[in-house]
Amino acid sequence: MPVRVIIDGKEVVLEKPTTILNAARGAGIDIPSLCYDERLQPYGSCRLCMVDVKGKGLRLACLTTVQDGMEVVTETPEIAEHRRNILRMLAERHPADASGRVADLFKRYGVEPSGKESPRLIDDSHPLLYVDLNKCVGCFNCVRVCEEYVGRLVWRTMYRGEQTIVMPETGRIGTSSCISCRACVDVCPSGAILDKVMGFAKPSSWGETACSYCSLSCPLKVGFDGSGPVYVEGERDKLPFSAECLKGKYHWEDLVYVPERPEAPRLRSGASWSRASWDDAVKVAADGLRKAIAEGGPGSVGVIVSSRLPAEAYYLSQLLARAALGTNNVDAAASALPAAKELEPIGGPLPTTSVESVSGADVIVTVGQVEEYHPALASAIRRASLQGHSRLVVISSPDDKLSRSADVVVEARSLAPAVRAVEAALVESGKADVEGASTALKEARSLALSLRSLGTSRAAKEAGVEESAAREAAESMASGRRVAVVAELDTTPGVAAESMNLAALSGALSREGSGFVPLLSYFDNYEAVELGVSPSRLPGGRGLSEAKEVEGLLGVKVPAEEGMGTAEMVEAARDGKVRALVIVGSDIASPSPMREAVLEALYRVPFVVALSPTAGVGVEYASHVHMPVASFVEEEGVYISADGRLTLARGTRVAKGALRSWEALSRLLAALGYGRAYPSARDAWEELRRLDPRLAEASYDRIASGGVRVNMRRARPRSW
Amino acid sequence: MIRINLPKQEINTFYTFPDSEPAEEHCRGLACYAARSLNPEAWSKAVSQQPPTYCLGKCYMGPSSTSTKGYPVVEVRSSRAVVLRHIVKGPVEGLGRYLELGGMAALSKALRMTQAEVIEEVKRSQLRGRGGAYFPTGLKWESAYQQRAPAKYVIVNGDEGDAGAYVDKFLMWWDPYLVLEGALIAAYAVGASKVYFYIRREYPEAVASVRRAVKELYEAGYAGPGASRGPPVEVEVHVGKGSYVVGEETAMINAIMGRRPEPMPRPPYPTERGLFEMPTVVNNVETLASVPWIIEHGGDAYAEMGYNRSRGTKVLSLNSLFERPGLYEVEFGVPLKEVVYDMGGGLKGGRRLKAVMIGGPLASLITPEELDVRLGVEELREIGASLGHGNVIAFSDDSSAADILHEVLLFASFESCGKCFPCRLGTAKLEAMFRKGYLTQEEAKEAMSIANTMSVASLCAHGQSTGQAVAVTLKKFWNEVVR
Repeated sequence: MPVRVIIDGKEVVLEKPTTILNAARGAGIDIPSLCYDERLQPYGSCRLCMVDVKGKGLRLACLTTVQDGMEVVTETPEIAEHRRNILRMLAERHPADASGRVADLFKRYGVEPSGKESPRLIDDSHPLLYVDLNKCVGCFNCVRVCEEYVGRLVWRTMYRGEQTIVMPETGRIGTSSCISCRACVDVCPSGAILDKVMGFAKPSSWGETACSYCSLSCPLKVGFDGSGPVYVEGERDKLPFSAECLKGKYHWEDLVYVPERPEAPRLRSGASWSRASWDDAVKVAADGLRKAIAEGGPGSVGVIVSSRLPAEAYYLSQLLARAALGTNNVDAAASALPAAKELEPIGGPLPTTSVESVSGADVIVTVGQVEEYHPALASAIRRASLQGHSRLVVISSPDDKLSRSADVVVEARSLAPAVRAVEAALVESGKADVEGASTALKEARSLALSLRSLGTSRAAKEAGVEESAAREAAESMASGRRVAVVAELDTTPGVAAESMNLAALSGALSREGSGFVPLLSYFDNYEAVELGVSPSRLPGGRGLSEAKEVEGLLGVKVPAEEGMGTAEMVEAARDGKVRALVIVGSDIASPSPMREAVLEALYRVPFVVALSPTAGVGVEYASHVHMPVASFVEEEGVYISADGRLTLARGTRVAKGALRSWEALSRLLAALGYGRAYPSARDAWEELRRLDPRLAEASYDRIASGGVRVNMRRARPRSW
Repeated sequence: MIRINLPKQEINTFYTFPDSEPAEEHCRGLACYAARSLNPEAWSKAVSQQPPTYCLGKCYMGPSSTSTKGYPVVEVRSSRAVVLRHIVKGPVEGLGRYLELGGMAALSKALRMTQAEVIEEVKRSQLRGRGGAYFPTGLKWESAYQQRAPAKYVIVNGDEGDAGAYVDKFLMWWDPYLVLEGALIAAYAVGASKVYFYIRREYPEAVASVRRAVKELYEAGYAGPGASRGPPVEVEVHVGKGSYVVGEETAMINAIMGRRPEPMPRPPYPTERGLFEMPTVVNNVETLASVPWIIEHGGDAYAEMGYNRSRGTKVLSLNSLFERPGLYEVEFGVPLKEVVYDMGGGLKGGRRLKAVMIGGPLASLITPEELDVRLGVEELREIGASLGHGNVIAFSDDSSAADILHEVLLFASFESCGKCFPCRLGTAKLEAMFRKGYLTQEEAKEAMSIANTMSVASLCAHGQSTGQAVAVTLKKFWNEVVR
């Protein structure tokens, strides 16, 4: 039953009860608060969010759940006086240069900070954090985020009363066990903990890019100074939750300011590396590839695109294979994941809806650790749940942080059977949308039948989950019309297929405002496949049988024979049947749960060319030519998110010695004798656009102005 | 999951005496302050002691120190003796003596009843928690009883930190069996497997006595995992390290879990999610000491005594400024005048009564003109006062209202846990404002406003009561305080 409340005279309708604070924020009403953060347990220390609840008196908005018919006034003269009193006492000890939310509140309530500062409270001992406890307001957000969220005990509370102080466990942040995640910077309302790189950055130019840490490709603003990128921030205007993830905001440094980043191309000589010019490196790479083809034929070489890259790099990579090396042995790493195959019945592992629309669903179901791998989307989901817009069902391991905000939690030790138990409960309760499901999934009816004969009890037992939880989950899923299923898919087989089935049966695949969002946690670049980085698919979503069109448009010959995919190339490499590989993107071995197998295979390839920003183990030990390319904050070109949102990356600088990936690839193409030149990324994009009707409208100018979205999904699988 | 047992060295910074016991401590409690004219030298030692010791529970002979020896008057003025029924005759020496007095009969009787019947009896008695909140004990038990959980706990709150109160101290010291019998009945009623007995460090006699009693009860089979005559309930004694706020139930839960003893917002109530996130009943010592009588005689017999919504008996602790300081078990409804003049016998040495404070030290002053009020939770609330622990501190006219408030605020800011903004900032701010012994018109207005904010917005009773005490006292003594 929806809950209706009146906040400041405005009627707010909620799918389910939530706190007054969240309900108000969801309705665009800002209630002052310093100690509330939706990622943390409500704590109730600042007391600023008190509101007047009709008939009940003053209540804290962060701790009070709305009830149907409740009337709330968020500020009365009395409340304003209490808030002013608290803030005035705070201001008496706060230095004059207040910042952040604290400064906003001081201003709003007309109090002037006038406190003295002590140099003893400044701690500059950490390479990435600057701590000025003069500005600390004692909300303990840093202590709580570290303990509750990050799971460490770096920030601690010492002493009591007026003497209470927040400090690092060892007294100095530099000697503490801080892992530099900077979650504390994020939750500090007063700027007492600042990011040294970003907090003091003075960018002289601004670029844009899309985060490449996950397939959501959040748009980011990048600030550069004379030395390189120094500031990264999500672009809220373009994608609301993009600013709420620590990955893109901070971890870009791992690709930019690390010793493993060479300042020039490198050539292997025996066990060591030597520096080379780009011309030499490209020549050595081209010679090596030619030699391999001469010895083993074009079928013995291949190209793997290992990470998220601009579409231009995808395009040139497949061109490298097809036009320059003469093989269809080209693939995106993502297609080696079980999810790629398992989701083939619905046209592959790309979301059926935009990620933004997830938070508009009445019911959101998450499968697996969405928070862990896609924190930005998890934030949006958490907020939709906390603000009462959506009911949230979490099917995940017991430590999943999103569970805290969930209405129903199905704790699973093994995901696929747990999801199946919920499917069974959905079918058994008669609330499965089999009709809808069968419009999207061919096997829906027989699936429902087999689930019915399996039964919830047995399915729950087999999965080792609480039967009641499975039933509650099903009930919750059936309680709203719009259903979004978000599944975090790693390399575990079966999870993708079950999530798809659950999505189908719940109506997520067939109903308006619903959707299924599979997310790949490793090698999340499946959109490359749809752009032609595939042994069987050509740009424009064409099959090999349509090669003529591509040949006509491009004037190159496309090899007729279907090539090897990533998994096959790795297998062939292990069998010693691959003579040369080009790996485009970040290290293929480093992040992989299949690291051992990949490394073992790479070691057996006589000639490996790596185009990568940094050197992970795979690049360092198994490649022969390392061409340093731009990190995503420095890139140029069009990033396409899994759900088809286009972002034009325009890095204003690139690290010394590195080239953007499109440029490195076009040089390699030229060295291999490919006739066409690409003086800019735009030339590659324009060529791709001519080949791919889906991109026809997407000029650089239009993408730059924002909001361009394309549908990268195949409507139907080949076999339908 | 909540993290327990955080690093000791960090948690210890919260406490006044985390690991050292001074050779001699002088009490800085408000009851000793009120009586400082009786021994100015002893009081000056308390003032210079750093860190201060707030209340040794010797308020009947203050100003006191750890070496002060002596006992209070113990009298029963109610129609039936409930809480003081044993110690009115002196300390109960050993479990054998307790059994001779008829002890453990209530526990045996309770064990023959169902859990729901025990709870029903306590509900009928209309017993309300004596810790200061006066929440119906039966409802508290019922709430915990109804929870489904893998474990439940009972905490005995023996952190009697309110200056002027010493009834819990003497119950724990002289009649620990009665308290433990009540606790075991509570544990049986709610289905708890373990009792945590938290005792403040300032009561070493009580600690020793309770520890000995627990050992005896284990040996006699009344408690412990293998109990034959009692419920299979473990009892663990925790000793405080010097903190006032730890007496707040959610703070005590944190303290036992090895976290900073900071109060937590309610709901969830401890009976839903308390110690180690399990349903937990936190009961005050005197509350539990009333339980055996209720089980023996029935809830109705208990409820027959008392007045209005406050039923049964209450023990009042009178401080040393009274002619006859001591523990008096009374029925609710007795006029305050009777307490001050009939029981207390007025002030020592013919001193003039300026005001009394009940339920302090974070309570407002009651003027001599208000002494017609009857003793009761709601009755005292009506005049802006509180019943608290039933501790009655008399002030003579050697103390100005501003000075009394300053002493209260010194304590309040020293003991504030620092978690919530209004209390952390407000206690310190008001303490500074009252330091000079009076307020200007302007300051008084500001102090009033801050005190209101504290009483409305603070997280727990510490800040709320301090704000209330300042606001009400300032209003009553405006002409004296404001210049």
